[in-house]
Amino acid sequence: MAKAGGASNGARAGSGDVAGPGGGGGGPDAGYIAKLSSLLRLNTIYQVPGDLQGNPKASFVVTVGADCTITSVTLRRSSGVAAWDAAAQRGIERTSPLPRQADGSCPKELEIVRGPRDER
Amino acid sequence: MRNLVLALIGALLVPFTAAAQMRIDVSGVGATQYPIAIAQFASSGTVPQDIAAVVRGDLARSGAFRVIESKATLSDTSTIDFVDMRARGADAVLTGSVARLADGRYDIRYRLSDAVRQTTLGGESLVVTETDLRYGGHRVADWVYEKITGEKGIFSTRIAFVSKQGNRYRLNIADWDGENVVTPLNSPEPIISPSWSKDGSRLAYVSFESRKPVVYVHTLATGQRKAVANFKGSNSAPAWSPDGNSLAVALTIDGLSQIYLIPSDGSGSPKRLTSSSSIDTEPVFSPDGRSLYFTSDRGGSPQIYRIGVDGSSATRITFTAPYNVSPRISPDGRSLAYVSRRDAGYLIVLRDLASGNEQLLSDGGREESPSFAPNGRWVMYATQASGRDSLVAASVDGRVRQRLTSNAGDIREPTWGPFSN
Repeated sequence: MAKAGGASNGARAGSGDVAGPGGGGGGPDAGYIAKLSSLLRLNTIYQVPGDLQGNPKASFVVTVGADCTITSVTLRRSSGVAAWDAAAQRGIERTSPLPRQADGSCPKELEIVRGPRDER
Repeated sequence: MRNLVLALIGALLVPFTAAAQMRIDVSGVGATQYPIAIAQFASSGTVPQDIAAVVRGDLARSGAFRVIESKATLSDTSTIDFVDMRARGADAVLTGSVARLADGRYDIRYRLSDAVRQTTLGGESLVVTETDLRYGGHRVADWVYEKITGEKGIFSTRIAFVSKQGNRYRLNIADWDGENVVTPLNSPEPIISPSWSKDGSRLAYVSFESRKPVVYVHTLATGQRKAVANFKGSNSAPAWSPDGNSLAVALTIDGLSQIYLIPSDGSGSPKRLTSSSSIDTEPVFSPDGRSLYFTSDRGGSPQIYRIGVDGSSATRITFTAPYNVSPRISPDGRSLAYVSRRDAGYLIVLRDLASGNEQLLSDGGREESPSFAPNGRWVMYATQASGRDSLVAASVDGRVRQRLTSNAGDIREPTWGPFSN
């Protein structure tokens, strides 16, 4: 388990300006998920090996503090490719602090599933 | 009891918490190059080589890193402003110092820090002579590369190649980037086919200094050289066995060019390995030393074959083109690089031996002499463009190609040396 740094990466993660429909009740909304997905992709550095089969997915549980910084990233299910697990975890850590939702809050806990190949 | 009830209620609540959790399933990545800042190394007094610049050059050329400009001088013991480094996009920060010791040597100390996790990834030091300062920089780059990618770096390895300027032929040794050239041999007659011993201490090559091709072994530390194959006819294409005790060579001692094994100290008589009624040449040992790959026109056109080191059963390996020559086997024994004639000319092909899949590593059309880096990540070859011979290092993933030119005239016949330690 790694602890992500304090007020790092503010420029990339941005803050507050959630696009899409407002999630007034504080629940997840499509715009927020799209924004977070885009940041997660952007912050992940990985050279997909030429011989990689399929799109192996790693699953993480991420806890987030009240100030939106990531407090823990735990690998729940490995993709089977250790280098991708590590790169995906690092990409999540680089996304701290998370952007705020429309109501100014952040999700307290997330399940993040990451695969290396674009799926369209 | 009350605690137990609370624990049970807690356990029952867990699935609900998990269900309420936000779930994000996203695929794809944003970048393929690892961003690293390399600070100016601190020093007291003048250091005749900019170590940080050597490290930056190596990592940037590797294609695996994006080097972020950092003009700040930070020693290995400096406190790093991680927020600033992250704002500049750096994931890792290399800092260091160079100090001249009383005996004239230099002490290089360096530390790698993780700017995302705000931790140190470790630090090391090494002591080098003034002439080895550049080598020291390559060693630092190797260490960083391995720390971050998990693979051994090749920045401190050396290459050998032949240059021709006017009517002089030179056997040269240089850093992997073509810099820092030294010339163990300078001759008015051609020098071809240099080959490194696996420990990097000796080079075998063919010299025409006695007006016919003779194979020499040259010990680099002493400059001592010995003719190890000087038989009737032509002696060519030396290749070291992994243990360094023997050389495979192509000899015409019995007529047509055939493959033989000879002791690398030049003692004893050659042991014939192939017996064909065609031309067999360009042998190279497999990494386990149990077989050799070579070129033969026994099937009507030049193709690559494999044979047991005992001379048993030659198997044809290449079929796809009418002309496939100059085999080189990767350090893990899994792929073969060679020259193949295609529509675009003579190209370097990389073939996965298990699947038979082929990949073109070059597109010039006048390529020759492929040679693997000891980590298997690069193939260096000679090419001709705009009437000049130069060398190209191509990454086997096809992403990076870098050209090495030389003011020493035309350069060709590259051969990549082993890891430096």
